[in-house]
Amino acid sequence: MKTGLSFAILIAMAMPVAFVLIGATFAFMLFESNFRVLSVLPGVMFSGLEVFDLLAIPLFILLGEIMNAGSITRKLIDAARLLLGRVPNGLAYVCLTANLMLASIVGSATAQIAIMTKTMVGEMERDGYPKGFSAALTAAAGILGPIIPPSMPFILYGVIAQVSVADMFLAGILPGILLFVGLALLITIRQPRRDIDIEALQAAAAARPEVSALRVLLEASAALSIPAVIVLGITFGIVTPTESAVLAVAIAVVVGGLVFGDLKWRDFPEMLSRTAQGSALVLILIAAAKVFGWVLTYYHVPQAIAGALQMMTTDPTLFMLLVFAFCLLVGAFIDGIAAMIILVPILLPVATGVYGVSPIHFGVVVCMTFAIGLLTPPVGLGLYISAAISGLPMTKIVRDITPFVALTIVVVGLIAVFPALTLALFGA
Amino acid sequence: QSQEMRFAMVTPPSHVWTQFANHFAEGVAEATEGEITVSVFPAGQLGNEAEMLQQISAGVLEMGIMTAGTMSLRAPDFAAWQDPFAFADVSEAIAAADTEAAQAMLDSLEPQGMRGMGYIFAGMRHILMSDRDVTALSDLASQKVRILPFPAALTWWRAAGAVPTPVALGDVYQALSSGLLDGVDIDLDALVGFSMQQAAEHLILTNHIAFPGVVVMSDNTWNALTSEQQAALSKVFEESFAWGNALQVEAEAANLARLEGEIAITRLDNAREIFAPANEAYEAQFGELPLLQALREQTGR
Amino acid sequence: MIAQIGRQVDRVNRALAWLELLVCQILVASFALLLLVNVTLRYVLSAPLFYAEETAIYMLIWMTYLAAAASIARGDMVALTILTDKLPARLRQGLKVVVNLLMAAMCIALLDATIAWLNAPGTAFDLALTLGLPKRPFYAIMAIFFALVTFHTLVHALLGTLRLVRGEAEPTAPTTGVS
Ligand code: NA
Ligand code: NA
Repeated sequence: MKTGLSFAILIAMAMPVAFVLIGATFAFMLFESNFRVLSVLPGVMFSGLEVFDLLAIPLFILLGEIMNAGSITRKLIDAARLLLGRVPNGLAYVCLTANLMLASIVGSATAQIAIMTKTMVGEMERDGYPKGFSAALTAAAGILGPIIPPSMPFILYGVIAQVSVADMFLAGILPGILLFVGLALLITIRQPRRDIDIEALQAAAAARPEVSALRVLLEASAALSIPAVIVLGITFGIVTPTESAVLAVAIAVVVGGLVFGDLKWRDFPEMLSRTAQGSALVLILIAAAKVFGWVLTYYHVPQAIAGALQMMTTDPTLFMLLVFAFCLLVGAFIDGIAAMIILVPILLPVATGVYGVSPIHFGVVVCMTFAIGLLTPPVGLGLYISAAISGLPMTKIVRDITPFVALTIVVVGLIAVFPALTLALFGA
Repeated sequence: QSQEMRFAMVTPPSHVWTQFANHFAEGVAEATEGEITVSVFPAGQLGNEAEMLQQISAGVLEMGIMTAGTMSLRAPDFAAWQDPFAFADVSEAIAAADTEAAQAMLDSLEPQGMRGMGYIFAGMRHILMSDRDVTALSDLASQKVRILPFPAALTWWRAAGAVPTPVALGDVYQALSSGLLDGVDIDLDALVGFSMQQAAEHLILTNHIAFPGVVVMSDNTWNALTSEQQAALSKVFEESFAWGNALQVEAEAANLARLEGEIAITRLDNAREIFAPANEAYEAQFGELPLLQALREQTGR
Repeated sequence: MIAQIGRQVDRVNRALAWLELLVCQILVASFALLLLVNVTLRYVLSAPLFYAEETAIYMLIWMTYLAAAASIARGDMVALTILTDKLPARLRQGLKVVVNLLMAAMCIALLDATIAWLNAPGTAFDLALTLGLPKRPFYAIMAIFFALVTFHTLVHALLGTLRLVRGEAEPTAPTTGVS
């Protein structure tokens, strides 16, 4: 209780979250007046990162950097446009489909929302879609990023839960497709009223240089060889997730540098720097959470919580719905990665040990729930990014994204109730 | 006011080592009438073996089970347990734990502030191959084999001509089915636990090394106990080691019975001759260890 | 005089962060290449480098702590500023100084614990198994990290105090998103 209070105070003081976890550990030691524990913390922080799968995180971030610099994202949108541009509300489906393709390369929702908002929202606005709708759709479709493999949250979960990251990736495929279909249906039902300015559209079309359909498809297939390597390599177990990331980086360098010619050597130092900083933000959280988790385990806190939960229900389905609701609530206030790192070590032993829930199923539900957290106020990184890049006020985006968030909640609720949706693909 | 002792291990809850610890915990509660409670932390909840050792030295953790391989980094004589083909089966290995040499190894931990309380065994190590039988060393040439990279195992496997390849235990199944690995140096508990027989075709029963866990207690913890408590704990330890090791003998037989019919099993009776070059490499590097010689004498070799 | 010291300290702080990120760039490029070589060797020659994974992991750990130190130096670590954003500017500045001092205190305690750990006799036995090297030099990053963060947070506390005393506004730091 007192530890929870110190935690809240440090968070409210805007201390970096990694140090909040360390600070809460200090508070715990203080309350238990056991400072011998301090001597083991550096070792715990070091070995918390001694996990091969974690190497996939910087590699997938680097991949995203190279994809952007090598204009591979652009080629994917062109292809989606060629295929779907002519159906009614085509560009909305283009946005969704391009998100699906990008999701099979990018591992994080925030990266994906940033990339797609930058490239899609303006284009949809030109075609007469309301800007709020466009930004909301793009942000909502962005959470396909961490659900369709590869996925940073799934890697993290695999490491924390000690389950195979490759299995997590496979388990994410069906839920990702389900979410994609749900979003497509929602577009069809809502039929956004477009305010089309024919002259502007024609002018835009005339300004666009004529490119042959063949070339667009060829370029897109070069770009799509990256997700092909990742998904096929991992599905057939030919490579580990980390190795698939290395190969994808190598292909992206070749495709972006040699095929498209947009990637320059001088871009690399900056890309490597951003990769290091971006992954360190997550990895330092893992290390700090390991320290906090170690102290909680040492003092039997997870067992106490498990006992309390068992008093509430004995039914696994009800338990999963409880977890879902709880994570949705936590995700409204705390960044999903941080929340996952703190909560999974506490909840997972209860889920598997007491309720017999598959750790893979549990992981998919928790990761998806925290992905929704990116889109829920008051603390939603996805909303902030969308607002910052589209230039719309937060309140407008929050209003327009509500139906999409409602849909994702229904989809994840279904997945929580039906484990087959996650486990069917690899028969675990 | 009861005293809590924390007992940590890296094995999952179902493993014989963890069951042994739970049995020990029950025994201690009973023998000391609740004066001492032992709480068990399985599955590496408090860290890997290096961390556990550090925590024991720091007086934060009271007890842990370490593999003999890890202990061989602290006290080289523990590498005697990796003497290839020293024991025909797990019962012979368990019997060897009662020798003076095995006790002397435990005593050699004293300068490091630790007490070795005894040995609890995992199953013997065998070889599982994805697509080929092993009847000669040439069958292992350039094969990617997952091993535990302790010095003795590395020496032996390299000399056998295989390519040691690091893969996490949980990923072995997939690595075998995809060809990332050609084989594994494995005990039957882990093999059955991860259903590896479904990802490979040949199990070669070599019994090439035993796999004891060393139960270690912090010296400070032990010295802080009253002599009655020490006596009570010693008694519970003795009973629990017997109970746990008997459980392991049963598990070995049950695992093997289960695997019959599920996978092609080769009993490699002349394994010692086949692996002669590897055994020589072990001998060249570890043959001079004083307690290895003593262990060999005392087990009648 | 004090203003000049402040500027000098700020410059050292930035230079150090630049150096930390430079090492990070080299580390990221190195482990990506090492793993690529390893995958290639395994498929083409069926002969992976036994020590590649362990080496890559240590590079990752060094990268993590150096980049984290740089993030602290540049003030762009993830924090929840939702409440502090609503405070008056002076109060927010003061709170920031307090937070930096708290972090420095924790890091000093942890630096002390790390040095004790590195010098403990048992630590000398820890081995990087596939490399066959003692692990202590790899562990040293923890001491480096806590020392760097102590320095960076004390610099922030000092500069923040100077700004408070002189009634200057906080410079706007670039913010980076997480995940
Ligand atoms: Na993805
Ligand atoms: Na939220």
